[in-house]
Amino acid sequence: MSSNKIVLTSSDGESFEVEEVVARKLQIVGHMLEDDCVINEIPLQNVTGDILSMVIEYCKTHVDEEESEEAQTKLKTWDEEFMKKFDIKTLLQIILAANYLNVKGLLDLVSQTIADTIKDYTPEQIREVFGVENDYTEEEEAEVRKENAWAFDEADTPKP
Amino acid sequence: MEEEKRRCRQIPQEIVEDILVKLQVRSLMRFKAVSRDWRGTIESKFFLDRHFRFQKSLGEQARILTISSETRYDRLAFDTMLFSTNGIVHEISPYPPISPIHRFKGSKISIPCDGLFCLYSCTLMSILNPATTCCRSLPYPTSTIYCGTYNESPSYFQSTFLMIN
Repeated sequence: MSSNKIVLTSSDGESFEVEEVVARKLQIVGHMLEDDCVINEIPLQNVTGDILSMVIEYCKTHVDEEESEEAQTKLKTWDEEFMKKFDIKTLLQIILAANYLNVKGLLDLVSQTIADTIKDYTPEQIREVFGVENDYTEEEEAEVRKENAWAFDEADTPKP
Repeated sequence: MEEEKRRCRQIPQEIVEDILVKLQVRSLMRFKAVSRDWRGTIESKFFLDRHFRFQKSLGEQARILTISSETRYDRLAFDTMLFSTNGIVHEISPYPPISPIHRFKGSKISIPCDGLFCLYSCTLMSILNPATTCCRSLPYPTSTIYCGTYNESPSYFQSTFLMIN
């Protein structure tokens, strides 16, 4: 396995020196390396340094994914602990980065974590966190809520 | 400042879809009220297929819906649990009692048809969707419902379903 070093630079100018095998976990980098194998420094315009460092941490941990059950369990535990560190806003930043950098495993992990986090959110909380504008008229929104009323009354649910 | 910048950045709909695929139906129904885009995504045939395929791919998990009588409210109540090969993975909080079928004593459950069940007794009849736990009672029957056998013909319920649609 090659131990070439590659420098990844974030949008705010932070640089990270990583081994080529780690950098190749970012498929965007993998494609660049295939196109021209003499690159040592790669600028990544859509990711800030703080988010990129987390993506790199993930890639370093997942660099050699062993088949053995023990290794898989260990990785899974690491994934869970890793995800616990972030709030919902950071998770959304990471998913944007994972999508742009094309890191499949991280994309799956983060989307599942976000789904688990938001499952009991109200539509208002979703709008706030995802930056979505409410484009319903008042009547339309009331109608949609009425149609799906059973999905709303979390707080009123009687506990037998 | 940094916080402000993060908030303004909208999440592209394709990423939203990646997340929504992993949610349970109950959350999806609630999130239809977020915006027109979200509702459009959730109701699209493409998304429904994707959601179905993903939930099915979880394979080793089984979602079990139990119906029990809720004595405190004198109604039937739903409970769902996720099972896997390791046992109970996740116990979901009880759904509210189903209001349309209170005092539904001696009721029976039909075999499923198009994913729907029929809860019926000699005098009352409701259609139940186990995926959403939505339950809709049918108009009071003019003649007594035949409830001698468990295996009603599927086409019977199919036509009933079409009627309430």
